[in-house]
Amino acid sequence: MKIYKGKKVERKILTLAGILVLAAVLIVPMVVSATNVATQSASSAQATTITVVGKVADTAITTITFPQGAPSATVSVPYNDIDTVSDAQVLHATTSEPVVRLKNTSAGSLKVWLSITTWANGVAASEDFELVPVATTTITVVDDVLSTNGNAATVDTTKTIAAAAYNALYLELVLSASAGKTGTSTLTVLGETP
Amino acid sequence: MYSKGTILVALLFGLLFIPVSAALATSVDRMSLKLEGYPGKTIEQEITLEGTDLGERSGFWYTHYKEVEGDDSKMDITSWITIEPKDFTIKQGEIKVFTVKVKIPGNAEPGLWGATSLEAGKEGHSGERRTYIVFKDALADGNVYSGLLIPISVKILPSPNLLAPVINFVEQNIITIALSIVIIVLLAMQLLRRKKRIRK
Repeated sequence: MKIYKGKKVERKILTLAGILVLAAVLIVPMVVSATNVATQSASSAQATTITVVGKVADTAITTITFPQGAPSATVSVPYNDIDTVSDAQVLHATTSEPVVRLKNTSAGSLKVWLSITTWANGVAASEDFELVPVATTTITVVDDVLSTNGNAATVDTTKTIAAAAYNALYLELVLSASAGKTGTSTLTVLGETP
Repeated sequence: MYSKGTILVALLFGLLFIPVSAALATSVDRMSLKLEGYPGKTIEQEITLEGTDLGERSGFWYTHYKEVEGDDSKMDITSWITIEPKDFTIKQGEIKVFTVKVKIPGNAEPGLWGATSLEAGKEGHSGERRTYIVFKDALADGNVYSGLLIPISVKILPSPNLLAPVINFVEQNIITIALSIVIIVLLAMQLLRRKKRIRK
């Protein structure tokens, strides 16, 4: 079989092209090793929010209510919608009872942050809290600052709740000097890996 | 008449059918985000919430900067971050995926942003965290929310090789490019042959 000169050249070029393709396939991935590809990583641990439950029952509460008080008065008997007004917070040297308990349903410990939105109608002058283990029933004073002026605030309590454990939360509100006002605010309990 | 024992058993059996509002809330699949990227780029990271409460909960995402005296401007990156969708409702057993987008400014200097240490996301390093994404939710008509603070940091790398986009394109289209070269070479060959024949 005769092979013409033109066909020989064509075969040479085809061989050369094949080699070039092979070389490109092998070399390019190595060249690309330092390119514009950003790496990302993230931890994969699962966590669950802290639940806010009643004083005794393990039932999630929806609202906390501070009863009416005189202007500038300190209101220290808030209650939740599960235990109701008949079983409000108690400040006492030996038998104190919180307004709610915080339950950590995560697999690990969580550090607790508390946050409030600004009290509507300027009804509050300040708000304080106390976060203690549930076994502590000697709370007579609630003086850890949550908000100094009734405005929105976020506070790292620095307290940690172990997995499946509870803490007792006490709240106290100082009403503003204005009379005849009603206001609301939302309380948020945030957890963070310690 | 039924005996006291029968009544007691009936009462205990009846307790099984009383619905108990188990105190559960919402789970998240990551407790920290440690990202890397280049100036001018946008990093996207998925994050998932799972509803575990019996009732439907409504909530939203936001960002938080923990201000510490002496911090430099690299610590507050809240303005770079958006979470989509921002608002959500979630029921028991429901899983919802959210996208955290971090848009790195083009003039951001290389280094660590949003935290003082690369280890900030690990347990025992909470003091090194500054910027967080936060989700919180509550049962309907409630004024008590619960949520989680998730620290986020971004390591900004020096600007990449300018040829990188070209190299990436070649890498992604290597077979097409190689075949195109072969076809062009063959076509050129044919044209050359024709020219030679015409000359002869």
